[in-house]
Amino acid sequence: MTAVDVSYQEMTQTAKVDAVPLGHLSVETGHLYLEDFADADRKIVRQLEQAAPWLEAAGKRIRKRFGRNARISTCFLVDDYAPPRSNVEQPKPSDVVDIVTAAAEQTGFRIDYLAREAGCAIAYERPYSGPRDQSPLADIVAGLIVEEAAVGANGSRPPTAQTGWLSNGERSPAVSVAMDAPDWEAPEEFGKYRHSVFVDIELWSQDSSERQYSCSLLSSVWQLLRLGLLRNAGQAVAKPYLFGPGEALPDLWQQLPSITQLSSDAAPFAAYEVFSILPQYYEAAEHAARIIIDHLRFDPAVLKQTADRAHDETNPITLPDNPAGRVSHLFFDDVHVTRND
Amino acid sequence: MSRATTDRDASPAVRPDGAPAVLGFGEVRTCLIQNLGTLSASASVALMQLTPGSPVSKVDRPVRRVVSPEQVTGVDCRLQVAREGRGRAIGTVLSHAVVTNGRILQGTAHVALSPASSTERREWRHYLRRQGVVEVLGSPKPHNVLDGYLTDVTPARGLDMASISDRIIDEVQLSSRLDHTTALKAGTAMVRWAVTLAPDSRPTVGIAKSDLPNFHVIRLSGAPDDLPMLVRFCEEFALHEWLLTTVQDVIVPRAETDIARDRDPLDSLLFALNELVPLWMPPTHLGPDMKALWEAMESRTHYTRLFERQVARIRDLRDQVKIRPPRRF
Repeated sequence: MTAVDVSYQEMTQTAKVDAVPLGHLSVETGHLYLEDFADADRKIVRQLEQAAPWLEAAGKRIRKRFGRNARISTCFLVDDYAPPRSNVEQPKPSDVVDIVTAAAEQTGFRIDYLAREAGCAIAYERPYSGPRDQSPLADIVAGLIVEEAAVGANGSRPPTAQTGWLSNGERSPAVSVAMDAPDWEAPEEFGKYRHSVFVDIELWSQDSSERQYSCSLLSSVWQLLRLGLLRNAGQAVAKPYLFGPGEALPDLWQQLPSITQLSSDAAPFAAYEVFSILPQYYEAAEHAARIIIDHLRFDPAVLKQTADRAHDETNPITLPDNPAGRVSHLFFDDVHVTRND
Repeated sequence: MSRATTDRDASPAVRPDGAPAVLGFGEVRTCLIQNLGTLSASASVALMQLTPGSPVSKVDRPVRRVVSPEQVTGVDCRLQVAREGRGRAIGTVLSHAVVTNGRILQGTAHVALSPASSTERREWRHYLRRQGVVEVLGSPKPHNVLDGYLTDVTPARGLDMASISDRIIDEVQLSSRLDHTTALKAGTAMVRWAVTLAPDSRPTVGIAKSDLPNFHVIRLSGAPDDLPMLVRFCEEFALHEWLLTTVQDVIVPRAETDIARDRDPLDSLLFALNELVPLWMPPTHLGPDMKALWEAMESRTHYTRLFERQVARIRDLRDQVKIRPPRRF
């Protein structure tokens, strides 16, 4: 009798990682709170007017590199996560879509995707999503954070990211009363160049039983979605949803998908390069988001998949090792020119 | 040791996979899950979901084995080096939990050590790209580092793999999904292991039972690619060692005492027969290398024969109780 080769294998969930469509460039053309729509299109028109020339310049640069068929998409983020600061009635999603579309047209471009910030905390795949088509994106990203080790950390202490804070350095020792602590010690940024820029980021606060995620953490989720790097157990999340011709938008924001596709022929939502054109007051949160992204452990399969696809493009692209290196920003100034016409 | 100034990763796209690992360290804790009943398959999976969005691995045969996603802990510490030499380890340690048949919980911490790719600490994301690897600055001799780790004390002076594996056990045992009672009082067993890695090295195993109770030390060797198999080997050894110790040192002596004092030992005897004995399943099905390793280990230790002898003893005790029931219940 000869020996028989027999194999027995059980499939586990580990194997498959979804790919997501990727364009060359994704431009975030603005970010507004729901109450900013209270005085109709005044604020959004101002933001889009500020963004327009930079959007055009960015598009020119990408088309020069990748040709006329370069895939460029635009998006706009509406913050429906923060509790409203005033009692002004919230505009309905369909009103906002109308305002955004009209304002963009007025400024001479098109917005392809409308995203909502609460949809970054939890991904809603379709209108009226039930728990089955939701993914806890903020929880997922928070779970990927690996705190940077301080010098001397040998694993004996639990990480402090569990407390809801992440820093880019070593905190100064707790000081209770100034009188007791004459030897104040400075905090120190890890890998500082001569001097520190020490940042301590609040990731969430605990409201009774529920976590309220910070703008910093949600911004990192948002950028990661645009980079096409988030998965839930290997599955793509927050895929853009395009409403059919006869399909009406829901009346409530929490019934809207995370990302609504506004134009049927839009280039992919996620891209190799992402660019955000924002008012200055988002700078701190965007910096924090970058620090968070630099502390994430990515699934090597997702990173490899993205790098390989970039490489296989007609004009091959070499992506940097660190995903945050694919994000750029422009914070426009507050200078306002009054026109006399 | 100088305080880190970072080597800025200036050049993109060069993916330095770094030097191959020369050593692997680990620690395994094995204990009963603090739950009165056996956990179902879905309860085991839910318990092992320690990282939202990361897949839990589950295999049903020959025994159900559910493994949590790897947890990542950053370290930058002095290595405990025996004899002479100094070293500093920077990088990340991995840890995961394993539930076997909804009854046994294991917490494993493991790490591979490789020579540093730079003379100074680098940006954090450099280390995040090689999860489960620490880079060693300085050039201590590998066998000194290995001996230093295996003989390190508590609390650890070097890499604290013990605390990392303890923490993952605690995290699972404190879960609100468990009722925090056990059917049997049994101890936690510890296995500390270290492997010397070299490209053409054939797997070898040396096991030493420490004078500390429930503590074993394993020295292994193998090729760098063998590391995952060796991690698994140590987990399987730890599980079987725990089963043998629990049956031999807890179940049987306790039943003998009970019978001598006319108390009923049947509950724990039946628990052993129904819940523990079916878990004895040497991992020889996993592949030719694992089979060779396990069988070589068996030929020295006769673990399976020892276990079978204990199982026969349990059946004897059970039969005795049936023939002459205890007076006190």
